[in-house]
Amino acid sequence: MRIGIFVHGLPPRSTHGVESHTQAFAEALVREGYSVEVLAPCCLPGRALYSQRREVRGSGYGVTWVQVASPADPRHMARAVGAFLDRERPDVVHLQHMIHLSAAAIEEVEQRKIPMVYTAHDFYPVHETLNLMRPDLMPFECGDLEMQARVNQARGFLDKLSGLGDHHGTVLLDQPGFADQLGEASAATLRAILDGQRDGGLEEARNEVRLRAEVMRETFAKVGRHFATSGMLARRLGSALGRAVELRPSGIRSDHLSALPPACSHGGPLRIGFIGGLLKHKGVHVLLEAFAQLDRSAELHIHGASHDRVYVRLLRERAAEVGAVMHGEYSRGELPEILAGLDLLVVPSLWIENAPYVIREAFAAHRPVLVSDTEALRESVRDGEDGLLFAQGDAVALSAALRRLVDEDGLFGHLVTGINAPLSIDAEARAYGQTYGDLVHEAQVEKPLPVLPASVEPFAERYAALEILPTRDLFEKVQSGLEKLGTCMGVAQAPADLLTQAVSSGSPTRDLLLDHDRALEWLRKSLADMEHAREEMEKRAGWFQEQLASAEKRAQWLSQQVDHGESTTGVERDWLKESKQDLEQERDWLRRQQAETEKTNVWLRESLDQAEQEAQKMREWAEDSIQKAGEETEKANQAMRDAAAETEKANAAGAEAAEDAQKAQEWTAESREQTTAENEWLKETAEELRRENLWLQEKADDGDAAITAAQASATEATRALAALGQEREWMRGVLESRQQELRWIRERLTGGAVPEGEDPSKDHAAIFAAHEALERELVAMRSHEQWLYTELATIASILESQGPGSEALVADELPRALASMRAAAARSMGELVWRRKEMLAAREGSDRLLARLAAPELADRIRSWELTPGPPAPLPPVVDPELASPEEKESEGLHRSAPDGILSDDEDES
Amino acid sequence: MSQRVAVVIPALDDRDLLTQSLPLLIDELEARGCDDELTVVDDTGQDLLAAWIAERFPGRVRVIVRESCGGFAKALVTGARLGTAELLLCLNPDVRVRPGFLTPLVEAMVDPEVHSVSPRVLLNGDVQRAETHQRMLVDGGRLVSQPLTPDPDSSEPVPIPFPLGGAMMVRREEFLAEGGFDPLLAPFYFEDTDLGLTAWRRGRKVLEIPSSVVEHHHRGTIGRVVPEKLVRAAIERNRLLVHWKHLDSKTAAHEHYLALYRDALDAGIGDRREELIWMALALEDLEAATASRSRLGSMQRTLEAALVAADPSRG
Repeated sequence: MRIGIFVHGLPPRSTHGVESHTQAFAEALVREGYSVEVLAPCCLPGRALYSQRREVRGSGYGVTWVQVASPADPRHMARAVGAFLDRERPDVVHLQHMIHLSAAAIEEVEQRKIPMVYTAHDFYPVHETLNLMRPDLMPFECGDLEMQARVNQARGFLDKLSGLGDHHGTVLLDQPGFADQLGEASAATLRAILDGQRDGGLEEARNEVRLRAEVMRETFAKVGRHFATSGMLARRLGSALGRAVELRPSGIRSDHLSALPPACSHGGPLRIGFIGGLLKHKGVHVLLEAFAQLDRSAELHIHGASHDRVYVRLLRERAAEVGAVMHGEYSRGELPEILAGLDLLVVPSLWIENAPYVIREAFAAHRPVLVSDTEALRESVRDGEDGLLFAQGDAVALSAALRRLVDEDGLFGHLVTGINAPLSIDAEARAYGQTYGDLVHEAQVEKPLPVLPASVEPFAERYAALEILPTRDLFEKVQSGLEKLGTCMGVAQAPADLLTQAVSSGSPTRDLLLDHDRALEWLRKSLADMEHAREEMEKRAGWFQEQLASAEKRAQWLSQQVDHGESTTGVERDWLKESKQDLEQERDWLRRQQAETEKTNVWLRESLDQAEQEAQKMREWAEDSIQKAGEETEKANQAMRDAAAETEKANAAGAEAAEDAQKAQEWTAESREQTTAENEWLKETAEELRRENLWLQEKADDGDAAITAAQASATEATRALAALGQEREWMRGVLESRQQELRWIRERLTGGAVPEGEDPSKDHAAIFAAHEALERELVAMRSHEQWLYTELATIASILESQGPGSEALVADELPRALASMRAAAARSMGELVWRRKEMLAAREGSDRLLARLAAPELADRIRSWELTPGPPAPLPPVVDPELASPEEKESEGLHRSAPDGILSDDEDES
Repeated sequence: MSQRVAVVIPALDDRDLLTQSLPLLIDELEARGCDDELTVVDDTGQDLLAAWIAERFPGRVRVIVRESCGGFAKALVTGARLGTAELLLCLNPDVRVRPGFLTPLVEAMVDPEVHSVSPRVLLNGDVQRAETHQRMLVDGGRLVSQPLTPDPDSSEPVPIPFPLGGAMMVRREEFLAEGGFDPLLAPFYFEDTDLGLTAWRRGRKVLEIPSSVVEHHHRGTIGRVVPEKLVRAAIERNRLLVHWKHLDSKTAAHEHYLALYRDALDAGIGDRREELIWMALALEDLEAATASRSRLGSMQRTLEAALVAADPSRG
């Protein structure tokens, strides 16, 4: 993956925190396998504005320097950035700092649909005053555009004052130990401006600030992910920009710092240090005052420099007074040595601060840090754990903190022990690598694919694969391909020969450069000619001046002569008058000529200036115009074609949209109706389902009850059946015995004597009738037994059919079967009672017959026929009047009243 | 009896162009009365044309629908295979024929030495700008074409380097036997140049027939659906591929190689990325170009001789 990094400077040209960190970060990304190209502005003598120079650093990343003016022209800067992007083709652009690069650079990235990441190190997206520091060294709130306008106005005022040097927008007012930089009047004016009591230019400043804020807000909204290196910065920027700003602390390279000798291991006095730019808002003067108040044995070493010569001079003077050592400028490579010479670091910042790298570097070297107590610095240093906090700008408090370190036993060691290893630069690179990957993935998902004919797609894919390559990779690919082509054609040559032949036979680039040289030569000559003309004009102006002076003298003399004209003749007077008029005319003409000459001179001077500027820009202009003309024409053609196509598409899209809208309305109406109907149907269905559910529940309950009753009935029926079986067996034995007895009786009757007065035939007929009745009963009993079996089988099948869905069958069939069985059981009981009665009647008849006919021994035998009691009668069935049908009730009645009709009619009904 | 012609129009969604071109063509074919065939090959892969043509030109145009978009060359072969006539006339949808254009073409094809013919193709109807009337040459090691101004009074057939793909007549079976256009040059452009150069180098002729006139609204088809940068890339890549395919002398190869090397240097130094991309695209196809070159076999004319023979100004 190729990462483009935009930053406002890089070592060795700029060695401040963000620039040095960006360099380490680029190196870490290279170690993680990324291809890195850094774009940074520069201002070097002898280079055309916005020209670019690329260099490759030893650690494997490229740096492109863009020559910029201050302030940068957004239009030119955008073109320069565009050229960089087209050449390097980064997959992601990481904005580290945009100062000097102009926000227009972000637009260029956005136009190319390249995802962007921004890491905020200060308040650049909201304020021109990056550290939110007023000129009087008081902080103001992020988003306070009114104060920003006053600050701008105040800075404009300070710029006009002499004697402040490169003041960096701040002055020392009422700082103890330092001379007042401003006079009383200027200080009062400055305060009045900051209090909003000076109108001059304030409204204009307000408009500019407001406009910048709006542009920045819109521009930074195009960035995919925003990070800040401290929580304080993330919160305040997020609030001002109206979007999420995530906290992502910066890492540092610590391998060269961790092995330094321990602090305070030298046995000498405490070595206090400051490392950083000597700018007023860094509060070095506060540290010097604190050191002056420190009545303990200690050393103070100040490392750093700045262009604020006045402030540095004041610092030097004060340092000399208090015995501090000013070491001056340092390079990044000297940092281990510097930290080795310190026991602790002080960061006495007067601004709200962010997340200074120097604190983490000190921690990496196991040096505790004393910092101003600000919201941001509290995130970096834990009071009493790895450092100490003191009231911001308070030299007394700082001095007291330093005194504690000297006086309190074990405090210094405790702080050293409490230091945690800072985040490594490699860990930071890995975290951002993950973010880059996510953004590229999102961009690929979001990127709409152009609709092309299928036959063109493979070619288009190949084109796209080449299009994303950086120019140098493309060039390398072509060179590699040309080598193969040379071999294939049998014309391969040594590269040097090839280059010589190719260049000697002419090259458009060489022709272009020659053209530029010729154009520059022409410009130089024109400049010389104009310079000569200007000199001539100045000479001429001088001559006119002399002539004018002479004419005016003569006119003055003539006027005097006219004034004294009384003594002269009329002719002389006329001559004098005419001469005076002529001279006046000449004088006017000379004045006009002088004015014209002056104008010409001014024009020439302006022309000369312009020509010089033009000459400076000529190379750039010539290069750009020649190179861009073709591109612009191409773009214009393309734009016209695109515009035509877009118009056509827009028309089509408009028509389609209207049609779609119509369809959508219809569909919506239809859907609404359908939805209403569907809702109704759903309500009804739900109600039905609820009812069905209730019904099923009832059925289930009924079924359960029916099953329970059926099971009880079945048990009863089985028991009744068994009793009936026993009775049947007993009855069968009785009948058999009766039949034998009857047969015997019949023999006796046919062969025996009949007592007198008796009619044996009558008894005989009665016995026969009883016999026949008994036989019929026997048959009926068998039938009844068969019927009972059938009923039992029915009940069994009903019981077996118990299961899901059988409730209806159980509910319908079972009660009826049970009722039938109960009726049958009742009928059987009735029959048994009736049969007993019959048997008793038969016995009485037999007794009477025996008494008349049989011998005593026969009578005894017959008496021995006394019926033995049968098996116990089954319990009478419980007939549920609700379950028994009217027919069943009626059939029970038939049984009782008509024993002859036994089973004849009821069988069918059951 | 005059030879029958199978007219094949490979088309994308060119309904607006066909609305203008088909009626003229139908009238011409009916006027000729030789039972010629008229086929539109729908190469959209979406069956966009059949119903539309059936409604607009019922029973007069056959439509062949390709299942997928295969490009101009494949669509032409599809149409040619399904034709039955002796001659194949390939037309672009944006070519509008002028009355009487067909018969002179058919007559010119009677000569077996003639490989292919094109009518005089006037760019947007401008008689001063005949697309067919150009010469090709190798200038500074680069294969280039130079437009020539035609003589409006001359009706004699003129040798041209290649038949214009958008309006060319060949013998159908011969074209199919040669495999149609070289797939090396897919998706488009320079297929016709390669066809013509191959014909000339094989000792055949390619002619422009001034008495047959059509109008071409150039790139009215591809240009509408493919971005210009892709069209340009295809043209410049294929220019190199065709040159490599037909380079046949060590001197010419050396001269070409030096020119290309210099162009690459200039493009690299001047950040002219597009030129580098064109070269890279061609160089990626070097192997395929070599294979195509070896399929040419022995030739009767050198490239130089072919270009001289095909120069209209010498005709």
